[in-house]
This record gives sequence, C-alpha cells and structure tokens, in this order.
Amino acid sequence: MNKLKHFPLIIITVLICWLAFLFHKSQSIDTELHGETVNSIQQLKHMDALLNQDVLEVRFQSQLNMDPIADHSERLLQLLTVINVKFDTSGMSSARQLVDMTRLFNEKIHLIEQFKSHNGRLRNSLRYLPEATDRLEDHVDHELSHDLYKLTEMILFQDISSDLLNMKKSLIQLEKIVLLMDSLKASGETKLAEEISNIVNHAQLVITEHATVSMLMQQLMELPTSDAVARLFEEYDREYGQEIEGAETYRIFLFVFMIVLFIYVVFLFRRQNLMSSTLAETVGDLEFQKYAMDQHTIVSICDGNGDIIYANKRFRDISQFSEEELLGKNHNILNSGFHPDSFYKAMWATISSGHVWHGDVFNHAKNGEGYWADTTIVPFLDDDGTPFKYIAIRTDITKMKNTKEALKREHEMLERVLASIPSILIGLNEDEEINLWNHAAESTFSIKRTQAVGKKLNELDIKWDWDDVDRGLVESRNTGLARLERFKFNHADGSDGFLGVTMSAIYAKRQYAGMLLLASDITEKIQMASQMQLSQKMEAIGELAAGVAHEVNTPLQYVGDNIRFLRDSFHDIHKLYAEYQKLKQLCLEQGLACEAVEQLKTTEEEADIDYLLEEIPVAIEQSLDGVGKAGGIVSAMKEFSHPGSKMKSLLDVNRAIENTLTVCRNEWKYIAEIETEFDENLPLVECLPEINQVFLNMIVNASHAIEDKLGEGSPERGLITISTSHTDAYIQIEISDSGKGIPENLQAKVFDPFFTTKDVGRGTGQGLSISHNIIVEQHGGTLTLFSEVGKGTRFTIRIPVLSEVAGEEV
Amino acid sequence: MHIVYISLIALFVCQPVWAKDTVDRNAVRSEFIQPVPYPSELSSDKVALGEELFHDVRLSGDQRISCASCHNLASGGVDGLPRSIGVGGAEGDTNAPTVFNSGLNYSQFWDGRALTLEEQVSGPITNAKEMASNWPDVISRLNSDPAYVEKFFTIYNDGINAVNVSDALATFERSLNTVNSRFDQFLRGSVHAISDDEKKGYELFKSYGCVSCHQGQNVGGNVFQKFGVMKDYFADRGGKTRADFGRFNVTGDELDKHSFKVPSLRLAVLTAPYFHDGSAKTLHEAIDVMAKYQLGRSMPDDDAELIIKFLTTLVGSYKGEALYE
Repeated sequence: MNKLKHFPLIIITVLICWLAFLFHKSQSIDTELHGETVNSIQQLKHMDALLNQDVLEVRFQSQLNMDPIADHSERLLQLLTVINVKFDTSGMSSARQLVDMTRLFNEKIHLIEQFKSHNGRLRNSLRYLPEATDRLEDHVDHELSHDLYKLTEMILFQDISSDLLNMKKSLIQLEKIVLLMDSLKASGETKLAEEISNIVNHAQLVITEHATVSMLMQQLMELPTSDAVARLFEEYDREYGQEIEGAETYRIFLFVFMIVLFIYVVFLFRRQNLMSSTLAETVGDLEFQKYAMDQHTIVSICDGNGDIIYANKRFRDISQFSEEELLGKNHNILNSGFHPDSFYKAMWATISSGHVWHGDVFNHAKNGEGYWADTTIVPFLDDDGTPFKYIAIRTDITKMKNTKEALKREHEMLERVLASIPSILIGLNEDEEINLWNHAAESTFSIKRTQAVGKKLNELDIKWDWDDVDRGLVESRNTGLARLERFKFNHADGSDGFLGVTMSAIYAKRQYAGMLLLASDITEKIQMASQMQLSQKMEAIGELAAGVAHEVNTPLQYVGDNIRFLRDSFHDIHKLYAEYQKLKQLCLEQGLACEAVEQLKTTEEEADIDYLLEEIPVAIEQSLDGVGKAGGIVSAMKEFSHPGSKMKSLLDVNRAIENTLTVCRNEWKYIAEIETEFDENLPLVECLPEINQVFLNMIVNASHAIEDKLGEGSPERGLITISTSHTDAYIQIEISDSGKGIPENLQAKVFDPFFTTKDVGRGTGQGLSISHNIIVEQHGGTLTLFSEVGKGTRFTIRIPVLSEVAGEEV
Repeated sequence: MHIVYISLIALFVCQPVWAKDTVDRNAVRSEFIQPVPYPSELSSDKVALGEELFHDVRLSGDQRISCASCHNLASGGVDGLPRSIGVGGAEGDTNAPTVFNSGLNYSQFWDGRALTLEEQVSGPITNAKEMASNWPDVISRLNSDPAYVEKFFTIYNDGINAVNVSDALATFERSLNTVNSRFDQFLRGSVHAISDDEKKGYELFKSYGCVSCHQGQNVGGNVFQKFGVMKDYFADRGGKTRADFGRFNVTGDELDKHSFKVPSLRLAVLTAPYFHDGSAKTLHEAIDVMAKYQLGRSMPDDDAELIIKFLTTLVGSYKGEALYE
C-alpha cells in the first residue's frame, strides 16, 4: 500500500527530473561563461596587439622603461591560463587550436624576454657611442675623430636601415678604427687606446646585437599568434554555435513539454476545482452533521495521549467544566472511582491498539455528581495504524440506568414473589410458547425452567389429559377464564396427582397476548380428603365392628355351648359304639345273628363308620376351636374397640399385644411369621385404650412392609418380631419387621400426618402420626424407629412406668 | 577548481595594474624610473595571516627557519649573507633577494622560474637546502594549531592548504612595498626631495646606461639580462655552478645562458652582498663589476659614489617608517 501511496510522488519526481533535464540542457549554454570566454579571447587579442606595439616602442625608444611590456607579457600569460580554464570548464573541445595558440604565445613571451634583454644591450651601446665619440673629440686628432664620428654615424644608420651595403661599410670602418687603436696602443696612448677599445667593443656589440634583435623581432612578427587567436575564436564560436543549436532544440522540446504540462495542469486544476467544490459540499454536510450530533450527543476528542483537545457544549454542560478547564487535561478528570483500574486499563488497551470501545461509564462531573454515559470511543489511525486521536461519543443514560436498576429490582422482587408462590405459574405468550415457569412448576413436573421456556406447552413431557388442557385453553381464550377442578395428572415420579388449574387469557390492547396458568397441586388435599373419608369410614366400620362383635357374641356363645354338648355327647356315643362293637364281635365269634351282623357290617361300610369315628371328633374339636377363635376375636374386638374412657387404666401390655395380633391376624397371616419375646415381669402400665391402636398400626405397617418387599402373592413369609422389656423408668416394646425398610430421607417423615408411601386406599397415612401422638403426647413416651432399606424396620416404643397424667402409681 | 580560484585572484590582483596602465601610460613614457605604487586593495585579514606565516618557523623541516630567517624585514628584507643558510646548515645556491617590493618583480628567483609570488612560496619550503620541508607536513602542523584553523576558515572556505598558505603569504608580500622614497617624491614633483649630488648621481646612472636594465617601478626586476655582456664574467670569476647558468636552467635556450633577472636597486644600499653569487661585498664593488662587465665602461670612483648617493634616495618607507639602517 505504501508503494501506491508514493506512486504519484514518483511520477512527479520523474516529471521534475525530466523537466530539469530539458531545462538544464537548454540552459547548458552558460552564457555568462561564454561571454567571459569571448571577452578573454578579445582581451588576449588586444594584449597581443599591445605587446606588438610595446616591442616596437621599446625597440625604437619611444618607451623608456620595460614595465609596460613586462606587464603586458604577464597579463597575456594570465589570460592564456584563464582561457584554458574557461575552455576546460565549458567543456569546449577546441583543444588543438587552444594548444597551438598557447604554445605560440608561450613562444612569443619567451622571444620577448630575449628581445628585452638583447634590445637593452643594443640600446645601451647605441646611446653610449655618440657620447663616447663626443668626449673623445677633443682628445684625438681630427682624422681619428672624424673616423669615429663616421663610424658612429654608420652604426646608427645601420640600426635604422639594416642596409647590407651600409653594414659592409661599417665593418670596414670599424677595421680602420681598430688599426688606429692598435697604433695608438703601440705608441703608448694606453688610456686613449682603452677608450677607443671601449668604443670598438660597443660598436661590435651594436652590430651583433642589432642582428640578434632584428632576428628576434622578425621571429616575433612572424609568429602567427593573431591568426591562432582568430582560429581559436572561430572554432570556439562554431562549437558554441552548435551548442546553441543543441540547446535550442532542447528549448523547443522544453517548450512543447511545457505546453503539454500546462494543458495537463489546467486539466488538473479543473479537476481540482471540481474536487474542491465536492469537498466543500461534503465538508458542509459533515459540518452540519457534526452540528446536529453536537446538539444531541456528548462529544470529546483527545490526542494520542488522552489529553482533551475538543469538548462540545453538551460535554461541558454535563461535566460542568468550562472549556479552559478541559482543554489539555487528560480525560481521566472524569473518573469517578466507581470503576476499578482494570476497567480503564482494558479500555485504554482496546483503543490504543486501534479498536473501537463500547461501554457504560460512570463519570464524575465537576461537583462530584455522577452520571452514567453510554460511551463509544473511536481511535483515528495514522498510516502506520497507530492511533493519534480519539473521539469519544457519549449519551447520558443516567435516567435510563436508574430506571433499569429499579426495573431490575422490581423484576427480582417479582421473581422472588413468583418463586415463593407455592402455586404453579405457567405463562404462555401469544404463540403458545412458555415464557414463565416458576419454581413450583419446576418441582411439580420436574422440568427445569431452562428446559421449559420457549417451548410450546404440548412439547413438554407432562402426563396429564391434554384434551382437557386444550379445552381449557380454548375456553379461556374465548371467555377469558377457565377452570379445571380435580384435573388428574402424573407427578414426575409417576405418582398420581391432582391439580386445580385456572387459565386466564392475557389481552394487551385487545389483542391476545398470552395465557397465564395458575395451578395448585391438590393431590395431598384430595388424598387427605379421601384419607379423611377413609378414616371416617374406618371409624364407622370400627363402630360397626364393635356392635357386630357384641351381637355376634351371643349366638357364638350358644353355638359353642351346643358344640361342647355334641362333643360330650359323641364321646358318650363313641363309648356306646365301642360296647356295640364288643357285642358284634361276640356275635361274630358265636356266629349269632350273622345276617344282622352282616347287615351291620354293610351298614358300617356304607356309613364308613371308621372314618366317621375318626373324623367326627376332629370336626367337633375344629368346630370348637373355631368357635373359640371366633369368640376370641369377638372378645378381642370388644376389648379393642371399647370406646374407652379418657382415663388411663393399668394395662398388661403383653396381653394387649397378643390381642391385637389376634385381631389383625388376617393382615399378617399369609405374610409373616410372628415371634414374640415378652418380658414376663413386665409391669402394668397406665395406658389409654388407644394404645392398642398403636400396636395395631405397627403390626399392620410391619406386615405391609414385608408384603411390599416380598411382593404380592409371594409364597415366602417374612418375620415380625415383637419384644417387650422394661426398666425402672419405662417399658419398651420393640416391633421389628423384615420388610422393605424406610429410606433415610423418609424416616423423619413417617410420623407426619397424611404421609404415606402406600397407594390410595391402602393406607391413610395417619397411622404412625396418630401412634406418635398417642405415645408421645398422651403417654409421655417415645416412639423411635430404626430402619435399613431392604432389611427391615424396628419401631421402639417406650412408655414411662410412672404416668404423668393423673393415675395410680404402680 | 583551484585554477579558477588562482586565475580569478590573479585577475583581481591585476586590477590595480590594469588601472595603472590607463592612468600612468603617459607618465610612464616620460621617465625611466617610476614611483613605487602604494599597495592597495589587499585584504587586511590575509596580510595579517601572511605576516604570521612569514614569521612562522613551523614551515621548515626542523621548525627553526621561517621566511623571515633569510628575508628579515628588519634588515632590508635580506639576511646579509652571500648565500643563505638553510636547515642543517646547508648553504643555498644563490644570494637571497629582498622581499620588499618583490610584488613589483615580474618574476621571482634569479632565473625567473616562478612567475608569481604564490608560485615562489613552494620553492624555499620544499628546497632541501633552504627550509627542507614539504606541504603535507606544513599543513598538518598548521592544522594542529586551532588559532590558524580558525583564521584560515574565516578567510578561506577550504581551510588550510598549499594554495591558501601561498595566497596569504603572497598577499602579505605584496604589502611590503617601500613607498614614498625621496626619489619617488622627486618623481612626483617634489623637486627638492633630493640633493644636487643625488640628482647628479641619477644623471650618471642614466648616462652610464645603468638605466637600460635597472628601470621601471622597481628599478629592475622586469627584464632578464646576460651577466657579462661586454666580457665573460664567469670565466674571470671561475668556479661555475649550475646556478650560474641562470635562465637557461628554465628555458633551455642557448641564448638564455648566464641570463639572470635584473635585481631591483630600490633597497640596494641595504642588501649587501650583491649579485646572484653574493660576490660583491660592497655597493661600490658591485658598481665597478657592473661597469666593467655590463657597460663596458670604466667608472671613476667619484661617479660611483654619486651613483651610490642616488641609490640611497630610492629607499622608501614600510608601515610609515623609512627603512634606513
């Protein structure tokens, strides 16, 4: 992505480089340098001319000192250097001409040096000759003097004309003077000779130096320096011209390029304008949006460190800070201390890593008042993805929060209320889906709220009559209210139950919005009712039984009496029969009345008299036994159901237990064996007659328990053990059975009224409760149990020997 | 780049000379000798730096010899020896010419091998018989002096190097013109600046022909001349050395054999001994030699004395003080 971003930059750089290149190429003609170079070349030419002039001036004595020529020579050399440098700089390659020219000029300067030197000598001697000749005029003879003058004249002329003929003449003249000088010397005029010798020397010098100087000047004049300069200039100019042309071409290119660029720029400009106006529009829109947002929301902007750089009016209003107090401060001036540090740390971590943060924050205003703000913080990321600015948008939700809290509390309270309602509450929405399922519903149907809510009612695994439910729902929808009394259902554990259900339809704005089912588990109530009924029936039967027993007693008496009579009578008859047999035997032995005896035998066989003699006593005994038992039952029953006084009387517990066993023999006869271990020394105890009820209950329970364990119709028999014992303080009766036992969690409940694990009709659930009441309340004793599931149960009854209720002490 | 700098500086320096040409051309035509120009348009920073360098022994190999050792400003810009003594007691090849008015010479050294004062600087520094040093050493020694570093960088962009050292020294040397001598005053119109004898001396200087070579602003220094025009000086003196070949050592031209730059006579009265070999101990001796070998004349002593008198009028002032011994 970075590459893309830099792409226009690269384009621009390339364009600029291209432009610069073209420009440079078109400007590569350094006109200043060119001007300087041309100027230098001109100066060189000028200097060259000056030097020529100087040479002539020096030669022909119009210039007395050599500063100018030396000066010009120096300057010429400097110009040469400068031009070389300039040519080097401008890259002009007129090298050959330059080298040639430089060489020529160097040569020229050198020649000039030599010229100066030789010319000096020449001039010196030339100046001396006339002077010397003048001085000698008086000291020599006329002829010599004349000759000397002549020589001087010739020499001077020679200097000017360089005439060959004159030269010869001068030389000849010189010879002559030399001869004269020699003769003078010979004649002893040494000083004079010396003087003349000087003149001769100087004259000779003039001649030689003149030649040298002439030669040098010739060479100087012949040096084609000005040509060289001209040629150099020509070459340079030509090259320069070429460069100009080249630059010109580039300039044209540049021009064209500029035009194109210009058009492009205009185009860009227009586009820019367009974009600008669009941008302005957009900005205007955004401004308006921002304004609109500022009216509604609380806005603050922080820099990368969290320091506030902008806070809108609403922010200032709610936080009660002024603009000066906010700008530059860190946003943590809002911290209320409500949230833990970790809260803010997490917030910062989220936004500083470039992510948006939402949350509710409790802030403090300036005066310490708190307010809740629904906050969204958005980081602005730079190109590296690092946040450099944060904008925080907040909405004041304090009211809403408070309302929510209140609502929550209300809701919670409602929940608690609902939870504590013992009735079942099921709420249905307009789509018949469950939206309310209270605690009672949970425990009754064993369906957790989470499993119920959201489902349709008929999706739940409840065993009840669905048709009835549907009918009820329909009725409720139509009429607004429906009631199902005694609606049968199954508990989750499978046990039967009854519900009393009220269905009320809920209407919101005249539209059906759902249903509310209120149900009470009236199983127990009904059970209790039926128990009550049963109990009443039992009571009635009890009373009836007492009456019956009383009535039956009488016939039973005379039946017994009669059977005893029969027994005794038969006994006598049997004795008689025995005598008759003896007679029969006698007859048989004596052969008397054989026919009659035979008839007797036959009749004996027909009557099966042996059998009869055997069985009749047995039958009589059995009858007696039966009667006796019946009598026993009747009397036991009479004793048992004696309405009894509320007064206690001394009771032989052992006998009472025996009685009870008799009474309820049918209950245990086929189920269990009875073992009794009676304490023979058991003291008599003051008891109410109701105590028998206790024993009865115990025994019946025991046999029921064994039956449950063994299963109905089982050939096996369990064991019921009843034992009595006593201490000084109390007597103890223990009734144990080998029944199914009582689970630990129910052991405490067995004494509860109406608590029963037996099926409806089999038990009233009252037995143990009443027993407990009788033992504990009425006799001041204890009734405890010990049970092991699967093994059996043992009830322990303790009755204090000394009764607390008014009675006789034993 | 340096060439550009040198040439530009050279052009710049030539400015006064340019100016002089147009102004003085007429004046120049009328006299053999011209007055010493006042050194103008010299950067005072460079002059000061050059002066410091001129007296700095660090430019020499053993760090005991400076330019001033042989060109002592207090003694006429020379050391008064026939040949100077360099590092390790080495005797030089030629007599040290005066540094005063050296800017007016059109070349430097007796054989003119350096065209400018800047070029001349390298000569003594690298000459084993003189300062026996080299540029790298000199530059490093100068660089290790923070005062120099600062001064150089103030004046020059590129700090301490051979070009800038030469430039500073040359600038300083150009400031050593001895101006406003009595003779210059005379030339400028003060007729009574010199005495009659001195005037007579000047006339003799001209009539004898001394003025054919010792002319111009510097009374010499602008022309090369053979030493021994009328007679063979070296044959008579004997003991030819390489230095005796003079300009020939530079150009290789036969005509330049024994040809030397004509020295300035401006401070002649202060710069004994004379000639490139320092053979003439006194000015009178020198004049006699000159008369014999260059002029082919015999000069009576009185004339020589008068000429000497004239020569004393040539001595100018430096920093406002006349340079008389």
